[in-house]
Amino acid sequence: MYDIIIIGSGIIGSMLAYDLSRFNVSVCVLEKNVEIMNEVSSSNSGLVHAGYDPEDGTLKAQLNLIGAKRYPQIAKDLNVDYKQVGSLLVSNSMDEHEALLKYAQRATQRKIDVKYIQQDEIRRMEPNISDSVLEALFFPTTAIITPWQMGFACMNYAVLNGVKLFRQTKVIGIDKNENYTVHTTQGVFESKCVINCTGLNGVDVAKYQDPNSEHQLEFRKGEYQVSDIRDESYLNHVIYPMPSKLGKGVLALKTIEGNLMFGPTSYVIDNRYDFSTTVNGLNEVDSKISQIIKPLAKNRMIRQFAGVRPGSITKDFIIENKDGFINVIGIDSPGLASAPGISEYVIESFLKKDFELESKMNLVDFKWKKHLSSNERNELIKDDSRYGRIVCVCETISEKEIMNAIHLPVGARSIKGVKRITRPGSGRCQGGFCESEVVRILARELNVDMKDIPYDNDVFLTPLGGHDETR
Amino acid sequence: MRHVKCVVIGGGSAGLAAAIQLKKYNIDCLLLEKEDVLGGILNQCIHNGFGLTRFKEELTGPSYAERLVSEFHDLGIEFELDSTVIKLNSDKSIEYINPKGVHKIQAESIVLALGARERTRGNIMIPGDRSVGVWTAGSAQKYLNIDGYCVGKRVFILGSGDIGLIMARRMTIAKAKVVGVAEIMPYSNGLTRNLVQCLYDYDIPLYLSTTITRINGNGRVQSIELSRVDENLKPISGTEFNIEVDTVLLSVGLIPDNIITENAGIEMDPRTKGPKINQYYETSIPGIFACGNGLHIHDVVDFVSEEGDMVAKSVERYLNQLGKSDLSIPVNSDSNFIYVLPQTIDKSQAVKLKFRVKRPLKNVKLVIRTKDEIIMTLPKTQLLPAELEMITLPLPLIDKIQDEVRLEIIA
Amino acid sequence: MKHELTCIVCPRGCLIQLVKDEEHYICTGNQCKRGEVYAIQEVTEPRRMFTTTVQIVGSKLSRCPVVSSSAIRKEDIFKIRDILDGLVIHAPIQVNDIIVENILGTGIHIIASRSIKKDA
Repeated sequence: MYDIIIIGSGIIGSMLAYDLSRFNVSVCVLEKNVEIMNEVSSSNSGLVHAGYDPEDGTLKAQLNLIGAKRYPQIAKDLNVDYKQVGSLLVSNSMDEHEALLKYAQRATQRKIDVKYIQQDEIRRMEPNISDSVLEALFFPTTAIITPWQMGFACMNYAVLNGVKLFRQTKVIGIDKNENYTVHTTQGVFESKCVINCTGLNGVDVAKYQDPNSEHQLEFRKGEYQVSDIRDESYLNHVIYPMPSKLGKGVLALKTIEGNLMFGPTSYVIDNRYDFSTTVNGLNEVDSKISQIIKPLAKNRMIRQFAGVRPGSITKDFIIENKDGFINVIGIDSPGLASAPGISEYVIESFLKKDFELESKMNLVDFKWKKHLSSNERNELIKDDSRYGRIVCVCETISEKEIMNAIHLPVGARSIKGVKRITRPGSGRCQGGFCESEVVRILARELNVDMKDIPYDNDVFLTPLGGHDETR
Repeated sequence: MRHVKCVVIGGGSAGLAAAIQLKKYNIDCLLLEKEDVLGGILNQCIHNGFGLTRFKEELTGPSYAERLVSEFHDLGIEFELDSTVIKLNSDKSIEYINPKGVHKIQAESIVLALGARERTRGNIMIPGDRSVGVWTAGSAQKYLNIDGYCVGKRVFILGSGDIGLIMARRMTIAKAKVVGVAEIMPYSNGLTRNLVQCLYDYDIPLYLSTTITRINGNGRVQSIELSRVDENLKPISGTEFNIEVDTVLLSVGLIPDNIITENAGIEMDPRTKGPKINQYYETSIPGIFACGNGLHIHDVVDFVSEEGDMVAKSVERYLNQLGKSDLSIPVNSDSNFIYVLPQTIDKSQAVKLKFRVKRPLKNVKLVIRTKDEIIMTLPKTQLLPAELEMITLPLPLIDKIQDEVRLEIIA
Repeated sequence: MKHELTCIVCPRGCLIQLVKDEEHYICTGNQCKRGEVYAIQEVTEPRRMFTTTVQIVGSKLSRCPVVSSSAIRKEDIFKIRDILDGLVIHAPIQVNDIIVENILGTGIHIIASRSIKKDA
């Protein structure tokens, strides 16, 4: 019996777990996948938007601002990467001038730092900006984070501080008597309160509690391209085109690790699990990006991927409390930026009314292990030589760092998990050199055969996974 | 900081040969290898066919490597395993990591024998689902030959380069069904003998002018969509067909692996993807030399090692300051060539030119000219992109060179 | 009888024409003597060098690469594969150590193509 069950461990579930772990309530998190942060939360731009974009009076506008305000402190507490790089909202035609002014005005009203800049200054700030860019707004507070690093850090902190996480535990039904009974593929869980933050499946889970729920989601796919360029000067800020009714548009940014990332497109899709890339989508990224920055050599591209965003047809987040069953549905952009705001809102508006939330004493600190500098590595090698055995040459990651990823409170159980936590396979060779060594380390540390190490849910090295009898 | 006469980066078939030869010139060197064994990629190339030129017999990859490694050990050359170079500086200092620490050393000369990496799905942008079961051929080779895991049951191979062909046979022997090999070009990119003994022997179909246009399967690969391509290598709409497979291996080219070279500010050649060199295999930073697959992609390992030998000679020449002429004559080519090495020469000695052509050519003449004068004409019955060609320009001809060497193909 | 075949002896891959008139073979297109030997062998009893790996214990490596001491008959490839599949050998192994002597009674040995140390 728990006080609160959180269903889903994307950025919303992870942030709620993080916040709630500091109160005297018992919390468990149910995640259907082998790794947390696995669906919507793993495939997006990784941006903490400044917050000028959402329409007035929406939850999106309100919670994006709170999220953007909370992130620097969270990042500091958990030692995760958070970089206020600033952004340029650029316009390519005088037709967009009015819209640009509208965003400037809205930003000022919301007390977001903004500065109108013209051609010369734009080019000074971004030498590789497209020649067609005429004017821009500069938002110094736009920040980048690595989404899964943030989520993993939050969940690790939560688990260290008493939250129970159950992975590969898929919810299949919910009953309400005095309490909620949540039926899963791994048995029954009971609680006084349930928070539904199940991303792509938000409406389906909501219907377990209220079959008459009328919420509707629309799934939008966004395709991205990632380059391996590490030229620090190629891009300095996040570059946004003028937003349209499809969303924020195809933007350009440099990730925390220094890769350039271009995207996303925005198409409504039928199958919510369609994470495929398409010729048209990738071409669209190419052509749209060329309107904002000068093109990059094709052979610099190392990866393409697609993310799916579950948006409500109301165009706003749905956050509601129905008899102790709290739905957090339709969290599309700016969902990542708003996550700390959403978590705070859920706690302040609903949970504080249902529970006497008191802050816990003796909280255990959790600090994310950031990428090592040469000096830090040299010190660590003195205690453990495996910090000096480099497995991933592209990203300079040692055997010990991979072991650490596996032995976190919420440790990696799959190749994908290791890749998200410490990045082997994210570089130029895309795992070509190091993947088998990562599998070998996973197998050794988890004491299973190499062929039984998953890439992802139920997908293994050999086609028959754990049942392959031939070698 | 420790000071070393010569540091060889990479302990594969190029680096080992260079180090051995350096020792024979009495030059002390330190070889740094990132893996925990010497020999490089040869250790996973268990097929035979290596060594005909260098050792006058046919060896497997591991036994070829072992020949070099035992000679290396017999000479007592210093080496460090598990040592990854993270930074090469233009002043020829080197930073590397190994289980003993993070080290910085100063080299008087450096041999880059960095090897190559494989092109990936992301490099060639194959659209489709985010499926598990897509590997580069070399990764699958490592899983099978080093770890003993055959990663596929029904396998399709994209690219008919030698690694792809070798893996088609290897996976078949490991009980996988290789359902086909597709090649985007209208001809195979592998050696003919590999077509014969790896595909024809096992009735594996080769689809020419064909490429994968979509990978299907949430979770594991379930099928691939293939399309015919036109003369511009663009998929032709309406020619799509699907094949059910659980695994896709990519053999779509090797790229010289030069992260540290690029970061050191060494001038690169976009055609070879390796550093630009002069006839001494010296890069744009004097005293830093390059050889093997890190310089340009070879098809025969014997010539990789031979480049190591030649680089050692250049290092010796450099360290002993044996007259370097300042002359720098560019070596150019017409549009029939992918590349010609070296990019520049001087006139001090005979030069071995190495080149690859863009498409198969039959019964042509290879012409080497300088300004308006033709200095050499060679009839060629066949030139193939899959085969690295080599010609030596002897001294008498070198003397004729004016301010350019140019390779051309005429009918 | 006329045969056209690609020589697989070396990377050059000569295109060989082989014509048989009663007793004798006439071989053209080959650039060396080995091409002729190969061509005649290929049309009478095709043979291939065979390589694979076998399981090894007692070392940090788990597979030992092996090679046939000379070319085996093509039709024996899968039979030999099956024999080697079930085999477990023990480190240490020296390169050229005989792993299976006289396999299938062919007079050909399967030999190690890598030395593998014994690890604790």
